[in-house]
Amino acid sequence: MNNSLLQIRDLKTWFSTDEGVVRAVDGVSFEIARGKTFALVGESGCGKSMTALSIMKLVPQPAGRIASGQILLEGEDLCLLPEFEMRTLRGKRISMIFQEPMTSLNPVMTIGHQIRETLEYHLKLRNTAAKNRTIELLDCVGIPDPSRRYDEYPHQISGGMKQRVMIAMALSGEPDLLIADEPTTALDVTIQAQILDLLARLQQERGMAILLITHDLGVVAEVADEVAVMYAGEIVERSERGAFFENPRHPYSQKLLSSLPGNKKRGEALEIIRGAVPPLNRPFRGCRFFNRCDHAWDRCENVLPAWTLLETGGIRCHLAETPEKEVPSETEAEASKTIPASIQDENRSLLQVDHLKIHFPIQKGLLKRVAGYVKAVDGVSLKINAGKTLALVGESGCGKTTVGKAILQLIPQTEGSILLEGTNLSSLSGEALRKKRRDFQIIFQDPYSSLNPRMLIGDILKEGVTALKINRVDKKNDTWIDQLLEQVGLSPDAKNLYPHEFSGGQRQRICIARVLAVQPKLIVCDEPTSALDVSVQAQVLNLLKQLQEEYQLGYLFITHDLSVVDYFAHEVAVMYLGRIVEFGPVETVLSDPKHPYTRALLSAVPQVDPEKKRKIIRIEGDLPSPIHPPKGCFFHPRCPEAMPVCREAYPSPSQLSASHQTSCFIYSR
Amino acid sequence: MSLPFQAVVLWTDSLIYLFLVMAIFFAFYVSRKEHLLSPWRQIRRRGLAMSALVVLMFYVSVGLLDSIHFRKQLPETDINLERQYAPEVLSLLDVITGQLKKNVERTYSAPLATHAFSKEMLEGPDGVQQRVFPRLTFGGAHLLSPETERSSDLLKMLVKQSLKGILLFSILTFLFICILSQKYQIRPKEMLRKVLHGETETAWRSIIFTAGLFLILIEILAPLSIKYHLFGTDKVGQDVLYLSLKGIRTGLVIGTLTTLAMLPFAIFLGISAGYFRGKIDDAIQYLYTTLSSIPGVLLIASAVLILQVYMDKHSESFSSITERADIRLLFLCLILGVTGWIGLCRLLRGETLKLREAEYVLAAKALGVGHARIITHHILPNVMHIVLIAVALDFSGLVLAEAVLSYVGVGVDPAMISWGNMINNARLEMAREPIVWWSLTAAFIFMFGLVLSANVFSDAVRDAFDPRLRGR
Repeated sequence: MNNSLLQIRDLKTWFSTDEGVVRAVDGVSFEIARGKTFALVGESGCGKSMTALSIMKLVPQPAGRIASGQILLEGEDLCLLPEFEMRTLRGKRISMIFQEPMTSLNPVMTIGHQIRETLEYHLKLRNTAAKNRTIELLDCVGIPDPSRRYDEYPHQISGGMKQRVMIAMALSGEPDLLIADEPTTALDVTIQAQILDLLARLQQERGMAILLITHDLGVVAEVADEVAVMYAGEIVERSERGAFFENPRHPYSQKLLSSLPGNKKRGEALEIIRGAVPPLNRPFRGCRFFNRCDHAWDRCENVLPAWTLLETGGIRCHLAETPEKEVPSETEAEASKTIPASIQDENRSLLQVDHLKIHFPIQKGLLKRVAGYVKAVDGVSLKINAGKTLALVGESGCGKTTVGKAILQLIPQTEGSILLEGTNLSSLSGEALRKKRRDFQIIFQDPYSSLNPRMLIGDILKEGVTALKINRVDKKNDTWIDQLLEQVGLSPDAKNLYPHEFSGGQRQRICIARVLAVQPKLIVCDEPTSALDVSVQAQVLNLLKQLQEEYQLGYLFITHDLSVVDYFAHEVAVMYLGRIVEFGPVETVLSDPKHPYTRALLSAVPQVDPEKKRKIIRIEGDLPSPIHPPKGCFFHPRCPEAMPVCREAYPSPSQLSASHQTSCFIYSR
Repeated sequence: MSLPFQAVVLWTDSLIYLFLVMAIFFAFYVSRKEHLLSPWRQIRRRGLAMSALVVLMFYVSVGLLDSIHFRKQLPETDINLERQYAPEVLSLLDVITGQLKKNVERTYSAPLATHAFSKEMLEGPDGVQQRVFPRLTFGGAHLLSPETERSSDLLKMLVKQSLKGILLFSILTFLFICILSQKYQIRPKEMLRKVLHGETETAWRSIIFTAGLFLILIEILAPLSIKYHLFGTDKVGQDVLYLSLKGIRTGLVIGTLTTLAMLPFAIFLGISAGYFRGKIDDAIQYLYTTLSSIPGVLLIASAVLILQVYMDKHSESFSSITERADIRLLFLCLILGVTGWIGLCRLLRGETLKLREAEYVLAAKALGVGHARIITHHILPNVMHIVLIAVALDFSGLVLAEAVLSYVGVGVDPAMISWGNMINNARLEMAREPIVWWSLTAAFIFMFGLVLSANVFSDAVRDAFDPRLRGR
């Protein structure tokens, strides 16, 4: 018991809103041992961040308040401390790092100055002592050349660096507890691996406890010692890491794990969690998960489940309370039926992109002289067959979204050709292009910004049909809209509502319906699920898959999430700095990657599966700027296997098999 | 058969009518569309907004009454002659407040006074000349010995009229509740309970009480203002209440017509600049940067002076002083509009720059939607809240700007009654001892009421129409 650093007992953080009191955190209890990592997982809106803010006593005032409970830091109740004492405690004994490194740093202060501030406040360091300590800290979080970085401003460093600076700042007071609120969500996998490594190393060195808040079960499986799953404001299961991933006990945890995409589930539909999180503005009579649970029986509806201790943790479920009770057999979830594999296997080429180049001019001076080019896309060739999915994978900033937009003819291309069923799209213009537009469409990443908030869903769906003058059965008759909405799993009543009345997953369905309205042959999916929770992601992926079977749609699936690729795609193209470094069937590329970058990328993905022990191939540094790409192979400065020849020239693609090719000198011999 | 008056439609009148027709058409259009109606329903539920609306309606109805102009027929002298009409243009408001307009004293008098503000040499009945405060011609003229009777007369009138007002209010409320209960098919008692507890769909409680307050106030003030000068008189003895009421139209015209003149520039140019970028953007930015580097007051002053010169040279084309003043008012609105669109235009350009990259705009482009439709369906509705906020702020700003411009001498025509002119005239008397405070106060109260209620109401409109704030 004396080993526990932080104890939370029955914490309740409530918000008063117009719709009554929202119980964002409703009776959460857990404890964190010294030097351990405790992970709090759950979907968005389940109260994880609010729990963290409550510990820091930073709950947004005046709407929110800590209604009851105890937050004991080494036996001292933080709830009873006045604000001025909390201030000395924050940053010194508990510090926090936030999700968005881009907005967590003050853009008008140098990095060194920002870290120094906390040092001066908490440790009373002055002048050179403070500066030296700051540089030490920067060095400790792995920032190269820290004395130079000391005087730089946040905009001069990359996102991964910023997160490192945030960590340095959080460490400056030498805290006992570090709260990391989605510390790697905004970062790429390779950078994520670096940051997770860093956190693990710092934890070992300093013996501090980490409260890790995340929605990414992979990250949890990597770093956590103990896991707690939150649902609708309370913890439904707590367990040791190993036990949790081997044998999740709560139906919600089980569902969460089984809704993760991956290659094991190829060809079958993903498990989905039906329904939505219940509103938190009224007290619950029974289990919060009742309406979405496959195991629910009448007791779940009417009796609040109590916390049941298990040997490795605890669980809040009637299943555990009454093991002897006859539990109704698991209802066959509709989603678990397998989607038949594509029968048609004709290789009808749908889209062919050849040496596509998109260069954005950089203009300088009064006369807007062109000073250089951002080579966002620099010679990309792709091929998609009808009814197939090509995944375009790469870190942010590598130009994959630009490729998508260029195919959609939303940005002019500099060079190369885009052939859709033999028609060169860039040669079309005006009315001809508009006619052709019905064949290729796009689904965007953010379901919140991709629907016009001022238009009714019905009007949104009609827009493309009107603009492209497509003859839907009957102009006056709206039944096709109803059918379309039903097809994407929404009620026909939705057509008279505004987008804000829908959740993220539903909005993404509307986006899909909007695209389907014009009956396209190719859909560019630009990270369509990265803004969604896993269970919702599963719904959207199932829908996309089902539509592909039905209409033989070709997908260009732009993503950074390799587990989705593994589950969803037929072929995969790995992109690095505007060029494709490896291209091939998904089974080959993901199981036997050839290019060092692909290998590093794959090894950086956190794995939920405990059996899959992976060896992380560390790649250092960040993506270089596309304005000044490195000479030779673009990857050589970060490549663990770089050879002298890599500095000289860019490797030409080498054909490894009929369908698998890569651009690397290792294979060009 | 001919009417005993000749209708006169001034320029601003016709624009106000146009505005009214547009508003009615818009209301009709909205009432047919369920989804456009729902935000207005939300406004209906907000008590403060509905109170503000009642106040605004008062202003608007006074303004509209003041916008129906005509000339009276002169008594016929000769049957053979053509009908002659009086040169003076009157409005319906002048007719309603007829007494006020005619009750002109010689010079200043304090509110509710029976004697003039300053002493004059008067010859007593005994032939002795002495400096006394002379009795007013109209203010408290019905009193025999004002020194003793005034307070009791005022108190009597206050009590009597309040009681009358409350009685009238109760009767009207009762009738109204009965009508409402008919409509909702419930007993009047139940309806009354609902209204009092604020459980109705529309915030009837606020509406009834604000309207009731107005009713009782009018009931009290109307006879008072006829028998006395409620807000005193100004330098030339005109009743200040009358001036304040006449000022309403000027304020409303400046506020609405300027916005009307400004919006097309701001919206069209702002959105085009942001949406099309490139050369068009450069040209528009150049235009408004140039325009905004010219001092606004100077531009307005020169424009108004040019107009003044033109009007002096072509005095024959203006048949009356009112018409002259009206043209100048219209021109002032236009020039304020031309100089005033820059701020909103900048805001709209910035917002459009952001929106043109929004994914729904890209999606629309991918669907082959044309520029015109993207602008009207995707961009314009999403910047409308900015327009609404700007209009609301500008409205109050313009009502106030009129006062400032009148101070410089380039505002409305000195012959036109406006709050700005009232303030400008009162300004000179601020140094007097004892101070002449009532002109300023009256203009202030009327202006404040209008600006405040407009702000409160437009705030509610904005909240209702901004989808980000809705459903919270």
